[in-house]
Amino acid sequence: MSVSDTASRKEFEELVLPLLDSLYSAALRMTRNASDAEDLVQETVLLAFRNFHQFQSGTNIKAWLFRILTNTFINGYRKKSKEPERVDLPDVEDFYFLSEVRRQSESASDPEMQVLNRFLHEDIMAAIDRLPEEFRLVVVLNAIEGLAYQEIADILDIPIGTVRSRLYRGRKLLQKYLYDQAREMGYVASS
Amino acid sequence: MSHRVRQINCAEAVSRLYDYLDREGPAASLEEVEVHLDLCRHCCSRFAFEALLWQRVREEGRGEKCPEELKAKVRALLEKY
Repeated sequence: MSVSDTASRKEFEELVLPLLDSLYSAALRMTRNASDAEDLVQETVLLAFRNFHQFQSGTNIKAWLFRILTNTFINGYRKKSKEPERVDLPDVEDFYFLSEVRRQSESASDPEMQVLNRFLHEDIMAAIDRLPEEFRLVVVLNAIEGLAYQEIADILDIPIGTVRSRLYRGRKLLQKYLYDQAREMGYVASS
Repeated sequence: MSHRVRQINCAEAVSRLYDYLDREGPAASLEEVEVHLDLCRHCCSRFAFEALLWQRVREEGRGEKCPEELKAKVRALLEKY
């Protein structure tokens, strides 16, 4: 191995290894399965390493890695189904979670904060995992990983307006699932 | 000299809720929301809760740690190259 190869591997490791937690947690939300997530992360890192010469230093490494992660997931890990996942999207109003919690508990002050604080990590993960894939991907990339709308549009190769509308619907749907979860766990009274 | 910001109503502010939380869209549009939130307690409290809700989702979503075994595997893969 040449000196320059070693230098570039070192540079790669310095940029990429600190992002492994982030890559793994996103992979886990995409695949919903620890063993697939591990495979996806390894495949992503290898692909990134092979194509590292294409990465322009000084640009956003996280966005570049998440592009590889997302495309590897879409091409190989999504459930092999002929039909796209069909979901009946419930009509969810703005501030759904807040309004529903307040409607259920008139007495307490800030009931929504009490319910939010009772959520366990697992409750929130379960609600995210319930999201249909097209919404789950944008919610993971934006609401969790903090990528910009334009970066997500580039990754998924869709217009920025589509990112915005999927994110809007995904967020409302997630509020509905969180509220369902809160009722199921008894954090709010069932009416 | 301060410039005048166009006043928007609650419906307009709410339609920009996620742009505002994500700091997306034109700065002038976000500033209009900001001014509305200064004036409207109702929207202010709703936006504040929504911000906390999504902050919690973000923290929990990022809370999974890559297993040490996988980190070691990845390092070994790179060594082989």
